[in-house]
Amino acid sequence: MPKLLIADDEPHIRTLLQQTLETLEDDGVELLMEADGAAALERIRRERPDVAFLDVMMPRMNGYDVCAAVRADPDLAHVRVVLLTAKGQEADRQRGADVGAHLYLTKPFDPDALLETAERLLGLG
Amino acid sequence: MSAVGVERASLRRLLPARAAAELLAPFGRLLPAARMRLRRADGELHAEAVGEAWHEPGVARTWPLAIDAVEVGLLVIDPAPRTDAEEAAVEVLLGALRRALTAAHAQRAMAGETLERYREIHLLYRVGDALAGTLDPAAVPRRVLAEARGVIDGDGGGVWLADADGDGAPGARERIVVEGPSAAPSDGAGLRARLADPELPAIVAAGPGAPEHLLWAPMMAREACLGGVWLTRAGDDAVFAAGDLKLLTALATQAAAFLDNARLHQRALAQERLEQELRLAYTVQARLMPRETPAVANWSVAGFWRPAREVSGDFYDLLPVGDALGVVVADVADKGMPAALFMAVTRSLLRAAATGGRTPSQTVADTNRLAALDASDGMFVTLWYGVLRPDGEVRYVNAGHNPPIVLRADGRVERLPRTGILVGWDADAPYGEGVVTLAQGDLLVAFTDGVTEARDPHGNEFGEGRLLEIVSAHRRADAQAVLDAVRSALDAFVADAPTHDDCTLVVARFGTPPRVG
Repeated sequence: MPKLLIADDEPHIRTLLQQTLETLEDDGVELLMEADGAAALERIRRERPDVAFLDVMMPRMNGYDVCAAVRADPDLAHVRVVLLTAKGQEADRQRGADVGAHLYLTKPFDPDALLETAERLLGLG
Repeated sequence: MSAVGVERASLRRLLPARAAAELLAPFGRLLPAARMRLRRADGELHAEAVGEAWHEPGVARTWPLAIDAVEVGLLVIDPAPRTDAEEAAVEVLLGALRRALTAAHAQRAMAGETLERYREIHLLYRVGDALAGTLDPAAVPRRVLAEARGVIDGDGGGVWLADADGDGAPGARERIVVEGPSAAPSDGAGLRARLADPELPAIVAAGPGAPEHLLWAPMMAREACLGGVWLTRAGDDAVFAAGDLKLLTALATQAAAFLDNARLHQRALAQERLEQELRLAYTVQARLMPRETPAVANWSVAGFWRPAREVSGDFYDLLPVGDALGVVVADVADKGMPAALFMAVTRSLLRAAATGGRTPSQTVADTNRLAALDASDGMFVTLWYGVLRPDGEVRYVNAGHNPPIVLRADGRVERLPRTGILVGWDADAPYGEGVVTLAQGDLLVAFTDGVTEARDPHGNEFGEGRLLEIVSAHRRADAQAVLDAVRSALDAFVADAPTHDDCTLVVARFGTPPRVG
């Protein structure tokens, strides 16, 4: 069963991301939710999701560091990481690429584009 | 099109299975002999909790769970409660379930609304990106239509453009861009009604005379309606929704701003081209003014010409006529390019007519006859044409022009009155001749009304009195010095007030050696 992890410390954004991606559940995808970077990394190590959407600015561990830790672990080579950040901070895009993120999306996100991205990374549709 | 976050309420979305099981679990103690199950609307088991004393299925009882009158699932208690305490426990459980569902539904609705805004924002980003740098107004309608059809389901659609000059009046040079199989602009009473009242966004359901549902959004920019975008859809259940209208309106407003900008840019370009042409025309026209004064014994002559705009309807000319000098000061009764063209024609006609020993009256009569043929659009010219002889005699025609001034050396002032009507009015008009003879030190000053009617910043006129005063004060100077004095006084008087008329002035002094330049 494919798994997709969503990590964002902002509960409203988590709700929005979940509500955007929940149709994936109809395709058998399991959605995992976490509220900080350290918990997200632990969950990724435990559940080994196919895709992880990570907010950049999170308590305990930011999205870059989670991504770098995932990339440093050969067992997690299959995990595709998408970093999410506020609109206007596109300058950080390079940093996202440097730590091995597959994609870099800005918030407010385009719901349709986000869902399409998730489907593509999961090899659906 | 995907409908992220806006699907119908369902038990699975409102109360995920794990949360549902957690909610049911504590009721196992209140209903120890019962099995509590939540079933989804499709009958599938969603969550359950089993009381410690439950043994086997019995006669169950069900309670529907609904949100906004839509059944999302069932609570099944098996066996049905038998005691008041069990009934009360079920009531508490139902209350908890309904509160959880209602709260989740409200949160989902809010989130759905937010996602709609996100979608709109991104639509506008995308359209903005696509149209940024679009300076061609014609490219906007197709782009907006393509984007609209990309985000809102429809069978067809179109863009109606009001008058391209932007006054928004329906019917005035309207242009319609249409795409799709069923969107001919004549289709449907709904669309015809929108074109008659384009500023109101509208959802119009199909009805008599209108086979399709219609969605209409105006393209408003700077409070003007530049046109509208519409989509059509057929089918009983296909009426457009309020969200569709919001999206289309946002899109149309965005497109209107780009259309407005593109049109302003086009206008600025056209204006720039025109100004360039006018600058060129000025150069051409300035070359028509005398660059040097043909020699004539005993006279010194100086002229000055300044257009109010880039080009002028005024001109002056100095032409050799045997051993004499022909002087023309003229003013076309208009300004700008048409006046400039008529001025050039008149100048050439007069130059041609002045040859072959013709008198001033013959010259002006010939000029008038030919000019009248060209002046069918109401273009006339007032002119003074005088021939300055070496002995001081001046023979002239004053064709409706301001009388030139003769300032005698002793300070007396004479005016050279009209001897005929303006040129170009009547091909057969007769022109009489006046004669005046200047003596040593006398000055002749011919000018257009742009000089005497020039206004200062308070709106006061320069006036003939002031002109005369300055000329008198400098009457012992040579022609160029007199002219320079008038020009300086005029500049100081007008200061930074806008110039409304062309200015032309010629000063001739008798009794000084002829000058060049």
